[in-house]
Amino acid sequence: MEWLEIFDISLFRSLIRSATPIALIGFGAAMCSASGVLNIGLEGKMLNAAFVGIAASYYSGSALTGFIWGVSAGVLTAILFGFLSFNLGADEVLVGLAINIFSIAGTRYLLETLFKRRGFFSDPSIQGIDPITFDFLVDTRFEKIFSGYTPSIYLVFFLAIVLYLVYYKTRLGTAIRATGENPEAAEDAGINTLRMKWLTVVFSGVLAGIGGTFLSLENMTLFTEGMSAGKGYIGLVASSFGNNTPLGTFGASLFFGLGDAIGIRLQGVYELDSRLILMVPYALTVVVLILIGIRQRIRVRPVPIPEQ
Amino acid sequence: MTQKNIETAVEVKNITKSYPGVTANDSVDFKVLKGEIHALVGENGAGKSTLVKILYGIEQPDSGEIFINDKSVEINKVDKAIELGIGMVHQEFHLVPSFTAAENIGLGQEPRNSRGFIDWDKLNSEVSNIAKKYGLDVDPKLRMIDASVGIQQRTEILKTLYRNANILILDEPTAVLTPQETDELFEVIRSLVDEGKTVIFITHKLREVMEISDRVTVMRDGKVQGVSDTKNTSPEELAKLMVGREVFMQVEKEKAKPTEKVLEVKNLWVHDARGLLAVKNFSLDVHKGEIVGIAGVDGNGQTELVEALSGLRPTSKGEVIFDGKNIESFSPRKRRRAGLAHVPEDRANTGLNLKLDIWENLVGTSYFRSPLSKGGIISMKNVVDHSNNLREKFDIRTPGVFVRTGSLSGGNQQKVVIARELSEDPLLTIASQPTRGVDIGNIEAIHKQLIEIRDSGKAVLLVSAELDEVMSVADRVAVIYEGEIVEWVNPKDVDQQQMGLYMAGIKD
Repeated sequence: MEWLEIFDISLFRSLIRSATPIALIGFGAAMCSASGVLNIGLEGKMLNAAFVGIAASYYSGSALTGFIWGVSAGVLTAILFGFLSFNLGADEVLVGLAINIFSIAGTRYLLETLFKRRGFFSDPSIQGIDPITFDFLVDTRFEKIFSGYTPSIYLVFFLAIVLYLVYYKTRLGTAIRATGENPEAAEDAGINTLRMKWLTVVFSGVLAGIGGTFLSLENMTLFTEGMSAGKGYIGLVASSFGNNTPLGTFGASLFFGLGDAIGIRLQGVYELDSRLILMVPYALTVVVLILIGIRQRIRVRPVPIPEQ
Repeated sequence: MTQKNIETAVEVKNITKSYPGVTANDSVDFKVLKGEIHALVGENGAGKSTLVKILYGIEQPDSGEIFINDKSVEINKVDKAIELGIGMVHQEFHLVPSFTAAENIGLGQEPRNSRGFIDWDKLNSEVSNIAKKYGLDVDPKLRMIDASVGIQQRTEILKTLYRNANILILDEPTAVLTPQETDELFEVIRSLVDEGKTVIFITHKLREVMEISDRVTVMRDGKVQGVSDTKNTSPEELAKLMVGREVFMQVEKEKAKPTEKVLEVKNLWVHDARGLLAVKNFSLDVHKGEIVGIAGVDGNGQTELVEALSGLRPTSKGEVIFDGKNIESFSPRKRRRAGLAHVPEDRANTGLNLKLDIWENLVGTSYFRSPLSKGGIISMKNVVDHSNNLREKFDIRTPGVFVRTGSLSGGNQQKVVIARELSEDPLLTIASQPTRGVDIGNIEAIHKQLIEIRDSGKAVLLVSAELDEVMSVADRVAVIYEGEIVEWVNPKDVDQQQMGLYMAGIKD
């Protein structure tokens, strides 16, 4: 069974790398959804962050500066989303779509005007974010599993635990969930629901920012047009598949990462058409959406009528 | 109850609050003594809700003063009201469905341990203790999705007690309860007062005022009409103050003369949106010349039954024969065409489009037919004439038919629905909660209309959670409980107590 051989440590590492941006977006989307905000604009936030991150790194020659600027771009896009939706009362979904479309066009425009490039941008002076190696793990059997990832990957595991605690065990978590499920009950309890929504939206902007810089400064050190490539939407699906809970979203993200990683590996084994492999995450998204639909259908399965 | 040294819990002086076009509260003075049960009564739109919203910090008055425990206060937000010891149980419950009772009760104020995490065990035991102290039977770990209406209401009351409320405002708390549940609620209210709480009880049911309250304030048209000790007044006197004229609490009608059968429902089963069985093995006949009533507490399958009959929800099993035809495959429009009219329970969402003008709603079921349309184009002249005729015939109070329907009062909106439904002279009118949110004057008019339909030889199926309404308007009444008919009754031969038992599903 040669195909079984693909299940090894490098598959695991590839899985984790693929799952990271999806989980970052997914956590933000889950928190937004829990507070009653359907945040479709995460794709655009991520793309803006990826571009601004690489531009800042190029001009400053510092990975940290690139990271900070990238995250700021995610946050600013999130503030724009909140301002249009909450302050001006525009439809959340339309605002999200507008941000996504604007970000594709905006980053392409800046790519051409600032760097005189089309399609993609890469330069030796761009500083990427380096992986972290744990010296105490070197030459142990755990080295290959736990060591040598970039910071965002460790952050995702950390966030899964922290968000779980916040979600279920703090006043903030219950306040966010109450805001999404019954805003009147929340207001009644003295919770400022608008503040909760702002909080989750800005938080999702921070994570989308980190996700964006992960794509352009960590995973690779380059920017390509539309490099977020639907990960913002896949993250949204992951949060929905995970019932908008932290651990559920995390699990769903790992599932997407697994699909992606298996696809890449099978390419090596069977010499599949690479374009087919590139389709895997999106095909998987459709499969998951079907599963979500089936799950809802099962939930309302009609009670049988008793025989007389 | 007599108080030795009388102190004031709430005093409101000269409160005025206007909305565009209406003065909801007009120089209102209102005083509640410590430790009393004070009933605040009035029709819909009398200004009760506005007054308590001002007390609870949801609305701000244009002018006037508020005193809590004899201290002048400004209640500019809900937090402030809670801080002052005021608690409110809203008519529509404000509960988070997936949260447990304790999670709802503690929301925003959950006890925390030294690490800043919520101490759920402590919260659960705190809730149990308060529940026990006031005789409110609630399991702290029960999710609100799974709780009955009565338990949800008790959870709401516990929510205010957990926040140390001393003054409890209950907004129409009995509207959703069976008579037995109402009695239980009254027990709870009495034990609250025994523990030193003050209760403001809003209602329009005078029987309850007489039973539970120490004093009563009557409002009408935004003004206070009178205040008195309950024992010194009578339902008749209160009704007169509420309406501003003598009211006939009994509907005048002749004996019914039923003729041929128009609707036959045979062993009908209907599922609700969650896939649960809402209507179970339901059978009933309606004849021309009679009004058949369906009584029962809200949420016992009435909604699904009416939706199934009017074609808005599929039936799962059983037959619906209307005017000799099996109408199962008929669309709502085809059912209308066959002579079946439907006055839906949810006027604002199902019955009307409030954003449209009155004329648009009036012709919503018939605009496509001659003479309202010719060759696919609406004839405005005929539509306007038709609308104006209906407006006159059904006494819809509006400056004109080119007015947004949402700007009308609840009673006039309902008249628009009824005018539209009756405009095609239906064989059977299904009227679901036809007087919900309608003022007493218009309730009388609607009841008369239903009886007129009957006397003209047509049929009416009246579904209502208002026991007094079904019992006084209908000729025979089926009591529904959990989707099944508990008993058929003749309204003349049955008393409130017996009806209460049937409505709770108890059959001797």
